[in-house]
Amino acid sequence: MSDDKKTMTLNLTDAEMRVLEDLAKKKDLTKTAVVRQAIRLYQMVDARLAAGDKLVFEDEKAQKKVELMVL
Amino acid sequence: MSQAQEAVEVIDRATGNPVTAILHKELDELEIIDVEIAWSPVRLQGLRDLRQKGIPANKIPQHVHWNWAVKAIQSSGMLAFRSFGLEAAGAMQGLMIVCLTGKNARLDPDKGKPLVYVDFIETAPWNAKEFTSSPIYKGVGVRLMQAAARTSIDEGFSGRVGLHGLAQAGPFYTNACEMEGLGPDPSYGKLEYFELAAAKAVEFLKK
Repeated sequence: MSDDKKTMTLNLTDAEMRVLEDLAKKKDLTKTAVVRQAIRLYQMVDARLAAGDKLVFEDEKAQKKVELMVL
Repeated sequence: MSQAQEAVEVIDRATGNPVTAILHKELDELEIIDVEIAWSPVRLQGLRDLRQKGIPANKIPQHVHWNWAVKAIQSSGMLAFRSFGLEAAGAMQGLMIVCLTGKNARLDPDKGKPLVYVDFIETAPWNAKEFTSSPIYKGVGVRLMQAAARTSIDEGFSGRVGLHGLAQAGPFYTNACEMEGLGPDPSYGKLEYFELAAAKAVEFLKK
């Protein structure tokens, strides 16, 4: 964690911007906070996959597990 | 030692007086390993003393097997995790690792909104009543939990904090930390889940 913050211009399509705005509204976060969350999550998932772990979504009721492929 | 820090107060149990402690908000891996080097022998000696007194296995502190060095390595360099420490009298009196992403509130009206999740929190073994009859400092856990609530506000999570707690720590979370117990979580080893609601966070931070 560092208080030094950098500013960048983010070029998004209309659809991507709509999703970002919808997520920000749904999660009661700023758009910056949503992007920050996404970066943290992506880094964590990437590190776990690189270590050989799998990312799986589980539907307990339907007793289904689906492995998510991440690029 | 980390640069991000602020002064807080804890209570010296011997005098009953408040003393100034340093809250470290950004401990790195080696700093946490150093704490484990200091705590581990004391924790093990405490365990030995308890067993010598005949304390049964189900009454010993449930976190006696924790190893902060391993936890530090697992979270090192990951933006999702942040490590806190509370230092007084030149020694680390408490540690906490929080997760800043991927965890959502379960309590209405904020169900589904993000929160700060406390992965691990522990006071030094010489402050823990489970290990010693004469603990040194009081309030270490509350100050660390307040740091979690403040971080939640800083992150835009409105003070929401969640965690899975060991049974022995349940009363601390509900009584001292204003958290609500939501019962055993079957998806998390049946540990009880506790949550600090946004509406309670402001009051908790005044303690």
